[in-house]
Amino acid sequence: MRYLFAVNKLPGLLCALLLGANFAAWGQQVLVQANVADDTVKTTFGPNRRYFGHVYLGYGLVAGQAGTGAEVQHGGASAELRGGGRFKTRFSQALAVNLDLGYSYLRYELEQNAQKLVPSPALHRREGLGLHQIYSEISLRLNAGRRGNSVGRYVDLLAGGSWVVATRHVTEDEPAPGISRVETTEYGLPYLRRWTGNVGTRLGIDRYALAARYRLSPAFGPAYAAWPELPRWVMGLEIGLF
Amino acid sequence: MQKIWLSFFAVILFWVAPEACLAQQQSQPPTTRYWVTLRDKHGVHFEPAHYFSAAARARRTRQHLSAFEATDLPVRPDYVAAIAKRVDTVTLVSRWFNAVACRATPEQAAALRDLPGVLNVSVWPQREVQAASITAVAAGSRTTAAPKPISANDYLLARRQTAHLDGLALRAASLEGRGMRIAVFDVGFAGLPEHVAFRELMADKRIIATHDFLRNRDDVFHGGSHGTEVMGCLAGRLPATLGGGLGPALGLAPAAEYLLARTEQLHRERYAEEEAWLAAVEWADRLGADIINSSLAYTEQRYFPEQMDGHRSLIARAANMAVRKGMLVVSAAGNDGDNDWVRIGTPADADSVLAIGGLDPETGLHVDFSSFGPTADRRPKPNLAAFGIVLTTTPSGYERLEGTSFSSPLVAGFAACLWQQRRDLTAMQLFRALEKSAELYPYFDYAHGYGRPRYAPFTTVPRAAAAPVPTFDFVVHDSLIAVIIRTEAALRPAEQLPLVIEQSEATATIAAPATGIPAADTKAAEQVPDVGHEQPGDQRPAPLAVLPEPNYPAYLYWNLTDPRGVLHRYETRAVSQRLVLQVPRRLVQKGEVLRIYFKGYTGTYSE
Repeated sequence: MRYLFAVNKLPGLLCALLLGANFAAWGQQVLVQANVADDTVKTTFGPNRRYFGHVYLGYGLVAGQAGTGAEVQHGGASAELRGGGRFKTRFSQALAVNLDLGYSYLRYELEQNAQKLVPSPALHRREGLGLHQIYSEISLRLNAGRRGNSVGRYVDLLAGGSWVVATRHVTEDEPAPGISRVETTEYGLPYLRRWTGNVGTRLGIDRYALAARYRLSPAFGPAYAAWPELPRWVMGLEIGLF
Repeated sequence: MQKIWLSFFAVILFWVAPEACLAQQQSQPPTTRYWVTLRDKHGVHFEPAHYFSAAARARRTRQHLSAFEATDLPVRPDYVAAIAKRVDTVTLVSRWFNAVACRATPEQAAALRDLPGVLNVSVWPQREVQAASITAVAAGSRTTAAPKPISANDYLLARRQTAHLDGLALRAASLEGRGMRIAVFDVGFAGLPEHVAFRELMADKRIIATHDFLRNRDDVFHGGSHGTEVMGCLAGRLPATLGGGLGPALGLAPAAEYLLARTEQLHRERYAEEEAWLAAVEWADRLGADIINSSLAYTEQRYFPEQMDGHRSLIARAANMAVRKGMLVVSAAGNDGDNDWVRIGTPADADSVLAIGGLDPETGLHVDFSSFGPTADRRPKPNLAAFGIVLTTTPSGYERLEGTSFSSPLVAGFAACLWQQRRDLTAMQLFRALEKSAELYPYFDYAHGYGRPRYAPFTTVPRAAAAPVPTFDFVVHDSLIAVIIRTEAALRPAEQLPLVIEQSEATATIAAPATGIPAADTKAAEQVPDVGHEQPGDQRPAPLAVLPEPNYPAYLYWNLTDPRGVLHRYETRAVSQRLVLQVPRRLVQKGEVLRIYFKGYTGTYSE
């Protein structure tokens, strides 16, 4: 159902008759127009239809205990930002499956203390590990309550994996006199694992959701199995854009 | 780690099933809402004179309805008591549906099915209500503390929103809804008693009763101001004039009596709301409401568009029953015309509910957010239309707001005036008369309905005494049907202002004589206000500077209708040349009808 504002300037009865286009009467301005068949067609795509898709943004905080020597600063310093798309297939009012694909950036701000071991015992003014990841997840959605064409209240039980596209290790040190800042960035860190798996849950109402993910695989590669583990939890908020 | 898991699962539980969580906190199994339909009403005692108010009895007498019917009888108390014993809470007892709504566990619900008086037990689903009219602009501006001055544009809009529905003519005929009782169901009426717009209403004590059906108390002046905004389009007034007289009315029924019910809660999902609407309509019936205005549209939070068939929702069925009991139910069509929902909501989908769409004051045409018809079963909706952008009352003063929530009370006020004049009409007769009076009738489309209702057909000298003069011709060619405006209808007459005009003169061309009440109004004129409701003689508004009725160019409306009366296509066009439309003949075969409206004349073509 749309308004159309279309003015054509081909005046004259003869000209219009010769052209003979559907509904045409050249020079007339269509102010309201509707094709009822288009407006009343039953669709299979929608928040509570058979299929639904949307993009979303998420922000989560790193949570949980780290191994001794791999402590991180909690709060906004260690966090994950993610954005992706979700495709939902509904089986019933209460059951659906989601497939997610997206990008996330995860940053651990390492605590600088005497026990520090990761990635080296050396202390800096600040130090952080950053992971650019492409992730994919599958989730089973359990909806509560009857509803119309809306997403409603739900719990997602999710499992997925991430491919670490790029990594970086950023350190900031005390500058020498006359230098304002000294920052060193290392890319392509060999000790960070390339593939990670995680499980989690998401609970939401319509476009808003709280999500918690638990990393199953170690943060560091097999050759670094002795290193203390980074926190495995990320908990935060997701907002669907639909 | 364990702490995290425990906390998270606690949140999950509360998120998904807050009621269950609450129940568990009380060491009880989780409860769900159930709707229990009962088998009979045998043996109940009912005294209509005791149950119904005088106004309710009078309404039934006027409409030749029986003093009561089976649906008015109370629910058998032994049935209710038996249910109450076996469930967690009884939340509603409905006479009309002979049913009980309750909270119960699945085990308790199963036990209910074995009770002798129980016909059926079904899960009572939840839904979220969406006020049809709240716009982001309106909600945002509501926080302003100091009253804003009314701009010239807004003042003009305020005058036009009633003038568009022949407000001047109605006032000249002393039709202001006097003696009518209008029930308004809404979110809340915050700020209404103190608002200067309702000073007259409050002073005259014309708010007869109030009830908050969510909290079961009488205070409705909280919870939201949507009801205050809706009331502005029924009984609100602009600030008083310099002479101390009453300010211009923002709606058409400033003299009516009101019943205010709070049945809804904004932005929250509450199971109780649908029951509250049903309880409120039974309450309004008992207290003698003539008209119910429900500026709410229930859409995708609970329903799918294909379910808008007038039977699916409880409130649609309740609204239909209200009409059968002699009340005119006026409902906003909804504000979903420009989103994915598109269609009207419920209860506007009910066949006996007068569904009101919105018009743009700038063009007089459908305003983009106003929901479209038809119903899911292809019945024509909306029925009528009025301005969907208005100046109305908010707790902070007066504001320009958008929504079919305001179209609905404008038409409800119009209906009150007409019913004041024609008290002999039944609710459905009034419904049909309003449709027939409308500007476009018999033309109809799913954007405008029959258009705005007009007063002229209700005057003693109907405008349609003579058959409408054709304003266009169908010219049939081999493969096309051309529609050509007749020369005499293609003139655009110039408007000449008189030297001096009085208000009565302004209305004389449309309405009854300004100096007296028409013969048909005798009953209305003889009505004496109830004791305590007397009004001083000079309470009529001060004479208004006459403003022209909104003057829109003549549009051409056309549609294609199938043999079942379902529209396939429709358009509205601005007319700038006499050859205005060509339709391929193949489209009007197989019983299809081409219907055109232009300047008061509707012509049809079929093969």
